Amino acid sequence: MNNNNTEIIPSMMITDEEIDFRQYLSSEELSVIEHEVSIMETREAAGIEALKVVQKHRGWISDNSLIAIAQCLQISSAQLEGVATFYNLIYRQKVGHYVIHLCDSISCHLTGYDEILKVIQTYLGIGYGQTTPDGEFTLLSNVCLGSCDKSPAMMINGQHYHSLTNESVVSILNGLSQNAGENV
Amino acid sequence: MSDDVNGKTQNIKITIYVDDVPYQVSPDNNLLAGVLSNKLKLPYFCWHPSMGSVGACRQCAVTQYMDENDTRGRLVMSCMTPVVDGMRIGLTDKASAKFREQVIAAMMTNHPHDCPVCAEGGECHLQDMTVMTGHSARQYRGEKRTFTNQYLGELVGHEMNRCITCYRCVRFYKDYAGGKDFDVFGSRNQVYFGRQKDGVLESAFSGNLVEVCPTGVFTNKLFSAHYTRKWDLQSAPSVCAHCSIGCNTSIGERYGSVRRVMNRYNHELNGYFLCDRGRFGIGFVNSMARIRTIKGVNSTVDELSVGLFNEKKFAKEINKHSSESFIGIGSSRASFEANRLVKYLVGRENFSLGYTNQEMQLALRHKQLLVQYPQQSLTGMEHRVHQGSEAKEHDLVVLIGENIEQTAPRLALTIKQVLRNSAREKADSIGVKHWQDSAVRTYAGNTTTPLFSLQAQQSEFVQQANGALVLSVQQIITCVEHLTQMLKAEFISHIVVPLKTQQSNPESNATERANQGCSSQESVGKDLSDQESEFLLLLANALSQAKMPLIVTGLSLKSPKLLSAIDNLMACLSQKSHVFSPELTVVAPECNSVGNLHFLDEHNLSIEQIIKRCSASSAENKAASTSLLILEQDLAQLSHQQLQQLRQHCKTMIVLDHTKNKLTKMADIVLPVAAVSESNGHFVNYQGRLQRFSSAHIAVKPIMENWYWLGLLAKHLFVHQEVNFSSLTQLQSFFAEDGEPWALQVLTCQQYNRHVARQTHRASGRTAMTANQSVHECKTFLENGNNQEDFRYSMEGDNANSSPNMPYAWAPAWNSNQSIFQYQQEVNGELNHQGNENLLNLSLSVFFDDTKEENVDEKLEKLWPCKVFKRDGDLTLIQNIPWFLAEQQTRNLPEFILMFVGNSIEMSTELATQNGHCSGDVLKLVIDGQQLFGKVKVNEKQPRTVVLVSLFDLPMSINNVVITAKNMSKATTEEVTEFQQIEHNRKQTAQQEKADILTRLKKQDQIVPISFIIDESKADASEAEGKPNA
Repeated sequence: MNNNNTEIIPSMMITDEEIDFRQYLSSEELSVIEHEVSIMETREAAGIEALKVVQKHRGWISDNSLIAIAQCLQISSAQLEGVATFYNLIYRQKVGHYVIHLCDSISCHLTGYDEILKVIQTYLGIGYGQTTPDGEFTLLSNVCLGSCDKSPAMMINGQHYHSLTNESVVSILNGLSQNAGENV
Repeated sequence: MSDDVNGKTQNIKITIYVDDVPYQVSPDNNLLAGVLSNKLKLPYFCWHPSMGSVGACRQCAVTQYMDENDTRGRLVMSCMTPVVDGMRIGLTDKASAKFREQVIAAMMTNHPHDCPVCAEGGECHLQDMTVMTGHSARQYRGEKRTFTNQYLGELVGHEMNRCITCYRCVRFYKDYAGGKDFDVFGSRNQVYFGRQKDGVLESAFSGNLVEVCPTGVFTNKLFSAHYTRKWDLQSAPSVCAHCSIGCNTSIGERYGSVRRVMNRYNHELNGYFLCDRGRFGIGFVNSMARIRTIKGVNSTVDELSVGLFNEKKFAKEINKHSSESFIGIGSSRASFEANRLVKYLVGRENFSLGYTNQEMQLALRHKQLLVQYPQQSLTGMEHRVHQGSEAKEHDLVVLIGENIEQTAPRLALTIKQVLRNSAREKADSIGVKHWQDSAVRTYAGNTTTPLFSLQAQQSEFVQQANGALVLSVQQIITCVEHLTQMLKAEFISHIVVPLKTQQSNPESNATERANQGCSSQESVGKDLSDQESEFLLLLANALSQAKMPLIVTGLSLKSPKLLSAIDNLMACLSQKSHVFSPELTVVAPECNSVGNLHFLDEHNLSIEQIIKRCSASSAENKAASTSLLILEQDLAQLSHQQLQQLRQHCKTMIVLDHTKNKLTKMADIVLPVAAVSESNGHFVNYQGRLQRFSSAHIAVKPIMENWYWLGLLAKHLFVHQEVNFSSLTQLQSFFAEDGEPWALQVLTCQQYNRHVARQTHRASGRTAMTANQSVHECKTFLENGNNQEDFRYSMEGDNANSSPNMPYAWAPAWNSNQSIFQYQQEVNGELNHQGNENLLNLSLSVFFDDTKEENVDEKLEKLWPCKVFKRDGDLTLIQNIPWFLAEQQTRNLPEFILMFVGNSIEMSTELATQNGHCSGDVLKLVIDGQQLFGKVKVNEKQPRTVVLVSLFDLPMSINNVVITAKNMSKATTEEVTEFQQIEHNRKQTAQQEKADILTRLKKQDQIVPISFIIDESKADASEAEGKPNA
């Protein structure tokens, strides 16, 4: 779609008809989606929740997941794509186990964001929008995490880390890397 | 959309003060619309006169003051601000002017510097607004946001970097036109408008993105490929020739080739939008299949040479046929004038409309409906009608037996807006005005006006209808007849069955009622299915609750019986009560079908009668046999046998046409006529509206206008000495002298066109353009065809806006089509100049003077017998070809062929199982000796007796014909290969033709080599000088 996305190779494109959402989505996913649908005014209103639940199970929203959810909600995949790409916490590309959202808005800029970014990039060896080769970390920017009083800040998998210093960032990442190692 | 902005409704105005100057504005619209209605310059992007306001672009900011003592004021977005009496705003104050300039500055940080290579340049709303705000220097030095563009099909180009995020495209495509495959993605500085993935835009209205987009994100690919700036185009006001709606278009030409079609605002019909068949279909005039030479007039070199025509030689040759007696066949895709002339030349006893017996009956039924039920304009359907103090709008839509998405796409777009009536009403009830677009949509959600659909095929409307049935034509008729009976019973007894009880027990009620209806109708042998009864009960109930239902039908199913059933239904509805005003819309098959109804009388010959007459005379006496003069006709609906008979028994066959077809192949004499872009005349639309179309350029001889050819034939073949026309106006005056009212009507209107220049006053290369052919300045008119009585082929002359038919839209500081508001009484209202409001007066007196209704059937059957014998087990074939191939003239446009997914044959599960067909099989369908192949699609929802076909080689005029299962057989392996080859070749040929056309056109633009000029100089020098575009 935009230049941040990897290019879609035509032969790999799957037409909407080739996916049956009943088979594609797990029963758990389906039941959560149907529950959300039941408490919404219209079926399409469950779009965000549906994307969230599928992402929770699969880590990200692939093209096929998008098509399946759209089918389930009886809306066009274009309409759901509009929702999915609007929210920065819905991932439309494969992400690592840990997704780092580093705040780059004004307060963090004033309190050493540049340094923190450098440290993270050096530590992980990746830039914005990239994932480490072991599939553990993805680095993304975030406009504001609402922690201006405790800046610089970042968020990893929903958890906020405040008043970051070059040292604290390294120790946080170290800790997570070890966790990751243990998980494997 | 903006119902009350309609100029015909109440005109109560209030006063607002703009920079302390009082102005009158309509209280029903927003401040921006009010300011623009007073022709003031206020920049805007996201607001659209027809789509309302969303406040997305912040460009239309003005300062609003509390009162005359307030000097500070506050910024408001004028498109989101309602007007109140005595309101004071500032337009030229520093604060708002600076704000508007900075909005542009922000947009410009991302907008590329590619105006020189942008197809929008010169008619770009963004350019206009940038100049208007005074933003003339670039301060931003940073990087620009960039995107990857998408492939959106053959018609619309995509250049996302130019986007200024006004959201107009998605609001049009998705919200207004109901498209599903286009949306807006991302957020903040990365907002992207397009499809979810690359692919052809599905909507039949995608071309409007070109005009809706204020800059060059969406461009007309055909125009870009062979490009000219707007200011260099020679434009003429035309009328779309590709369906019966008669949308107004502006055709742009340069160097003798048509470049594009743009919307030409017509308040009553197309408003701001066209369908893609109308916009891109014009390409047919540049096609390789155009006839460019005379055939069959003892061709000497002179006659064959392009650019030349020798009248003396032609006269001598054609005069040889003057002893023959001629039958003239008119055409529903040729102008009204040309048809009138054909009828005059051959006499009414020898005139035919090229209809078969069945089509004659159909035409008469059509005429009968038109005489009784005045047809509303598209705007009339969409807007509220004020009857006295009461405002009315359509509260129910019923589509019967016409797939308007296929036959009249622009009407389908209107119906989509009609279906939003109840949403607007709902919003209105809490004080949300109609122009608050996003608020109305948010509040009303999915609320739609009830829609019922009774069709022979699936369509988008079928999917969103409150009730929909897909049935065979016979069943549709049965249903309409039952419905009429049910309503009759209801209206008489005044019983309205509550909806709930109906739903709980549909069968018993329906059967009871159906029986009442059936008793008098013995011909209706078939009982209704449960599904049908339920549907009819719902529909009858909806009809009895509605105040102003709109019933839409048409002729494409070719069933006279259906039209007479609709007639009965309307008669029944009209009796209901005075507060109930049902409206009927009948879609006609072609652009001038309704015009030809004017010529319909009992003397009209059907094709069968012509064959009979020809064969009788040829049997009697070889020398005295009959000849045919055929005007722009394919006669594609005829069987092979009928065509052969026609050919064998007629002595000389003279065909006038613009593109090669079966008839031109078998004709003795073919005279090349000008296509719509090169000719003048009137088309009569579905309502009976006589609309003038003018030529954008003069065709290269020997291609000449149909009426001019007919004039020559009158002189030299028919020896009508009184017929001597050198202009269309003379032809019209000739008939006006005979007291024909249509001619008097059109003559009054045409006087406005005098002296108006077709070229813009900025056209470049005025004398240099054709210097390779002649150093003399081109004449601004020609000796034949148009002269001073019409628009000029020049940049000299009156402004475009001095005619009601503006060749193009332009106003100082407004270079895009959005300039049209400068010439409207108020935005979205009627044009200042009104001059195209002629309605053709159709009369049935010749037919039904003393014939009672019951005898009409008999009389018709006597005049034009067409009993269709149908046995049980017979199938009907229904056309399901997509909208872009549903019109014969545009069917061979390479871009449209490339959009076609391939031949298909769709049938019910039952039929497929019976005959052992599966989805994906290739079938051979034999129709009239012609073998056609198509892939099987099995559709469980389809009625058993209907076979839906989408076959490229089957003309649209063959519809609702009887076939048997035997006509369809599984293709053999060789045949499957043949089928694949055909499908492959069609695309290949189209690709090749697309390239060839472009090469030819580009070559034509270039300087003609000197040697070529020397060759040509052998010819008559005066001839060569007369035509600037050779």
